Amino acid sequence: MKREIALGGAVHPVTLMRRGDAATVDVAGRAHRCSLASCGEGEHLLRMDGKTWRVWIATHRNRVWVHAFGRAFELEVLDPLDRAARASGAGDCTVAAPMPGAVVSVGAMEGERVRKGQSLMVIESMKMQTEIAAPRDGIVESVAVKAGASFDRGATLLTLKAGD
Amino acid sequence: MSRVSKVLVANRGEIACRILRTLRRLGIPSVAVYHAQDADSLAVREADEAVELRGEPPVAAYLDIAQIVAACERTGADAVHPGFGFLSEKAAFAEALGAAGIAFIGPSPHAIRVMGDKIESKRLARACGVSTIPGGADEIEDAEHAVRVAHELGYPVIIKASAGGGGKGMRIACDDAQCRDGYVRASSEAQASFGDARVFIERYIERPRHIEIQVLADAHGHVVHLFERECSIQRRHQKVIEEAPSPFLDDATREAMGAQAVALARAVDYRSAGTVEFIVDSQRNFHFLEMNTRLQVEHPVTEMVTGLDIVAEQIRIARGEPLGYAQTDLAIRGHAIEARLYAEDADAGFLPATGQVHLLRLPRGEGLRIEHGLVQGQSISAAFDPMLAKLVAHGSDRAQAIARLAQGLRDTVLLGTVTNADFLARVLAHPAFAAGDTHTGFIGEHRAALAAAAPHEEQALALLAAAALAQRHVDPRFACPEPLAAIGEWRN
Repeated sequence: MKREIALGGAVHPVTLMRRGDAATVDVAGRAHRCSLASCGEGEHLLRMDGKTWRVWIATHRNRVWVHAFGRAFELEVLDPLDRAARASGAGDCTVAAPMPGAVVSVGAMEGERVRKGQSLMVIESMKMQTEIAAPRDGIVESVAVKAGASFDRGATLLTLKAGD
Repeated sequence: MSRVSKVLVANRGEIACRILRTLRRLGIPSVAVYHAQDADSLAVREADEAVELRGEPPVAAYLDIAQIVAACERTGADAVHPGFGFLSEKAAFAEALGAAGIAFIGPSPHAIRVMGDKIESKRLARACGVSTIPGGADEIEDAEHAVRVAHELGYPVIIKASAGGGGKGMRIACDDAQCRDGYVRASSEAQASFGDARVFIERYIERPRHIEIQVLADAHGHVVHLFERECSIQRRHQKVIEEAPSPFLDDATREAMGAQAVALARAVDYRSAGTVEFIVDSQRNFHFLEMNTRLQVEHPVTEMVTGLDIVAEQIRIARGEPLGYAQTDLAIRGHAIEARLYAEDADAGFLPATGQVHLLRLPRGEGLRIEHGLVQGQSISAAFDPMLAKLVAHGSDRAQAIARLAQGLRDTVLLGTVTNADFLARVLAHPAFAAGDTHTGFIGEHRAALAAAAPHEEQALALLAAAALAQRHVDPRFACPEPLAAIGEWRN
């Protein structure tokens, strides 16, 4: 099964194949024999090509956090369908928060037709106000946050659907 | 004098938990207060009772004097420990408690008021022989007055808000144009942040160290100091790493700073724990900055090198007990360093981060003390200060303390948000830090060397494999067997 996994700003195609108790993970055309054994409470033993590391893993939706080599890493397993839609620029589109903060005001209403660049809402972060503009033409499908709500970086603020 | 038979902790997070721990150790019943967002917090769990406060935004709950006095009356608490931040340096809070017959575990409203005003406190410091930075005697009336004062002092100068703190309303100027502009900006920022536009100008000390003296004073006129803490490692004018003793002070300077801190505490009839902050230049000349009339975030390093529980001392002092020891009874044992763990992205300008604590495994180890108020599963919201925890390590010398703290940071597993744990470990590993060559601009000066290193190739592969194997819907048990996989994609 093919996946794309984002780590530190780069996207890596990863193919996972089962082989008995272990699996083969194919990254950039090279296969690596791997296994992941849970020791409970988020702790795991990760084995790859004859080496073993103690790692801690947490997952939430498509995000995976791994504490390994003495520090934490955040990875994102990308949905191929999402990526395809994003690449084509058509279909549904999610407007995500560029940084954590709070909603000051929401200017867009569900069902409203918006033009690219139109202001959708105002957010405040680090005592700075920022306008969130429509990334393209479309219809506001849903507004995920209300004025006063706080959100994390990457949180969905609003979704757009295709205009026609 | 008050009995202090039941204490309400008017705070939240790690400091509420830390105060509750001492109350439990002393067998004193405790009361926590909480906003609904903190209803399941560790502080609520660790207190004997907890009272909900209402407020919008949530911080307003912890700043509401009337609700906190009412919570004392409802629970029969006869004393309040304010922790730090929130109401800890509000004279009106101490007064309101006093009027209700409740003891404030801290100094008198008078001491809070005098030390809370930077211009007033500096006047007092000068009057009792404390060394101060040249300048700062007058409130600045306008931009031209600012330039005249700057010429008298000589550039560079720093323009500061009288009511300031946390770096707000602060500007450095090296010439007349920067001085005029800095005056306008500092004054409007001060008005916006503190509701008080007054600013003053001081000589700017280049590459200064921040070194502060912890004092303890009882109600009988006994005042001692618990030596210094160096807190030079700062980002956005906020401390992130603090240690005791300072690697820079010699005995003579330590003694002189301690004596001046004690003199200042006496001058305001200080009672309880307080901290006199100084900046120290490269020649070990020290100048008074301000006095914080409360427990400090970084108090654990002092506790670890002196063996005293400062919160317990504050409670004894509030009960009217004499200190019972003199300056000569106190000594520094070993070395302690604290690192503040923040939910923030150190590699993106220290931008605060939010999220959820999906996995929490805090380290244990010899000489390691962890202060936190976290529970696994809790949200990290932007509603409160982004400090998550403090890691404090003690060692027989500085190198051992650094090594233990670095190990503690590497072993801190907190997944679900971004933390500065690795950044802190990088600071500890920097040769200039190891050499004790620190100043308040350290992080800016070494920015490039302190940047995160990308994982090397094998590490990146291991991380990708871990992510691929950990995703529930790509669990290898559900993945296709190899012969099928070879045919092509079987399921998403």
